[in-house]
Amino acid sequence: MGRVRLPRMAVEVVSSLFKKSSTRKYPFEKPIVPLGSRGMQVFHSVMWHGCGLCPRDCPAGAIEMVEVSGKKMPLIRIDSCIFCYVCVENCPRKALTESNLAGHRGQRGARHQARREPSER
Amino acid sequence: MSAEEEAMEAISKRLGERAQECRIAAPRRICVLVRCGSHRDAISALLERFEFTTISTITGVDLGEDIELNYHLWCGRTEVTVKTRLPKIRPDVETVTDILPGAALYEREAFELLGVRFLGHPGLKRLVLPDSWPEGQYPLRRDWKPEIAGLEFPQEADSVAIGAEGENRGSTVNVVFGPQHPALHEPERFLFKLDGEIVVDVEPRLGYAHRGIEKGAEKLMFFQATHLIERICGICNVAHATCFCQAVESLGGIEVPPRASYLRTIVHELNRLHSHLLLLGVAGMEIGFETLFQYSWRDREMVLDLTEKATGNRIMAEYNAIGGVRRDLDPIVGEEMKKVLSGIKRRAAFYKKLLGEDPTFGLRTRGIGVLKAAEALRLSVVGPVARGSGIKMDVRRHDPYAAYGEIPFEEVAYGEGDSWARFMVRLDEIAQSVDIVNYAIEKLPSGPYRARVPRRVPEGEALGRVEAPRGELVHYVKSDGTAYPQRVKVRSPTLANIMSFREMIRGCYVADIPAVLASLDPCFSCTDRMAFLDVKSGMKWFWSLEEIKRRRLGKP
Ligand code: SF4
Repeated sequence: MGRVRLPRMAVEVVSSLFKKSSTRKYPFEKPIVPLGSRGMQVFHSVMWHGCGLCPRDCPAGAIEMVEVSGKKMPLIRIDSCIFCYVCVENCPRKALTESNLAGHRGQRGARHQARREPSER
Repeated sequence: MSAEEEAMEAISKRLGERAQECRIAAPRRICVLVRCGSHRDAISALLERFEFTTISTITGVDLGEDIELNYHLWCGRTEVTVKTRLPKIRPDVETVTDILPGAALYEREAFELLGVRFLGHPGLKRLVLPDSWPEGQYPLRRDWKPEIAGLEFPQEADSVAIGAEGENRGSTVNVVFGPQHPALHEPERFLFKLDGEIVVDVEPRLGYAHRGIEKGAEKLMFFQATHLIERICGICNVAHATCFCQAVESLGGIEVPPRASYLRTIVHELNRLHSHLLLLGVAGMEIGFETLFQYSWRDREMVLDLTEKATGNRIMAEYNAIGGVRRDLDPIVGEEMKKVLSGIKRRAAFYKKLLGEDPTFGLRTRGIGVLKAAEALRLSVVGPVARGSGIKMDVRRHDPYAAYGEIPFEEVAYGEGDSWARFMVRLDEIAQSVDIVNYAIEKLPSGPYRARVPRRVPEGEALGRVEAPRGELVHYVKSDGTAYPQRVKVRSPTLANIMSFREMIRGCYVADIPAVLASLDPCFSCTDRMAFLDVKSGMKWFWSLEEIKRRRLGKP
């Protein structure tokens, strides 16, 4: 380039010097999750009436029906789930609802999943 | 006479009796069933009548007794599907590569997946499947099951030399590059034939990321397949989903609410913005301009944040559904979008000025990797590659979908045909996309954003076309009246463009390979198949150093 644009460069450098770093210290800091983000599904067992639509509709085959105290309940395997929310959209009784618990997949997600593992039920 | 009738007349005049069925399937879509063996006549009639005739793809469908081949051709204003049926016991058909060289890869694809033999094809080899795949097994035939193939077939390495043994003499060397290589972002393998520092020939080979999505989609219901189709590519996922949904909608006669078409347009353009900014960064990195890489990826991050706010995810937007979109746009997000994007437009103007003036960038891209307009048309390239060679081809404008018919914009085109022109097309498109998004947000109609649709889709077939960031994307969907598709065929833009890489790179220096490849913006996970062959009869396989030097200087 013919001309060096010193003033513009200086402004950019100085302003960046005093800005907070744009990376976040993830496990120690809470991540900022946008409100509309598709996170883990929330299951409301009161609404559940066992129609069994979600395991048939899930494109990833992530939902399995397991017996919990005599009733068939859906077990969502978060590791196979692609967070497409077909299950949430198609649930006729709104027993599965959305949440943005996604940024915490590392920590809270792991716990949720552990609770849902068949071996621990 | 409308464009559709003109095309029908051109074919029926040439074929007469042999055109068995001629109908207008939808606006700008014609379907012609010709007698076996007459497809070449039909295609050459179109080539003579319409100057800008390119081939989109060839779809093979297994009909049980017969195999149906659909040649999808874009004739400037209409998409013509020339159908022909072959008996499955002897699926032999004449090639069209001599009149339409761009069809070479599509014929190879039909050959290996359906077992159609194209007589006279200059290099009918495997394209996606490994070389050691068992003979006589065609995965897209309906009676094929994965168990038939068995998992135990020998895995052999691909060849390491281009041409026959005797040809490799003198100072030429064959260099294998990939499939795993630090400079490649996706697994692909290139076999270069070099004479010193100069590339004489190249033979890419793909298929390392082949996932069999077309076959997999047949096992899912239409609304589920949308989510699988979306995962063909991480970058242009919105384009894939839009295209598939449009094809299914036209199959089922589903009317998309106007608000949904505008919202589709907005998210589609955000997708294009992030893809072009990504490519700009990659190009900067390949050329050694790492500051540009950092800057444009920072801008891309802002676009991704907007995408996440509007759709719910940064990359896999999952925004499109059959019958509309899955979420409404919050006016606050709309306002934010306008603000952030105006900043990106300012930056795009700055990058354009910078790249136009910067001598290093100019030296690395101007006059390098040239693709002439005639050659581009012959090879049926699409998208920014075609527009960089001066061919005004933009699905958004010539075959409007979603809300593009109502939004004023002009297609960007540069005449130079070199790497520089291809980058400039994309930079101009960034500014253009921002304008389109702004216009769509301003004019966003009110009303519902999603129509309820039945799971079953009526019997029939449809073709969806969209302008993905890399060019024309084609989805062919056939339904047999159930909730499951009978056949889904995807032609990603990279497959159409990759044939031209060989034309571009011959005669360039080794150091130019990454920059020229980046200017194509290849996306191999979309394509996951390709290889090269010489379709021009009489083309020299071997060039002397002097000839190449002369060619590089632009002398005949
Ligand atoms: S979000 Fe999608 S993949 Fe995940 S459980 Fe629901 S339907 Fe299955």
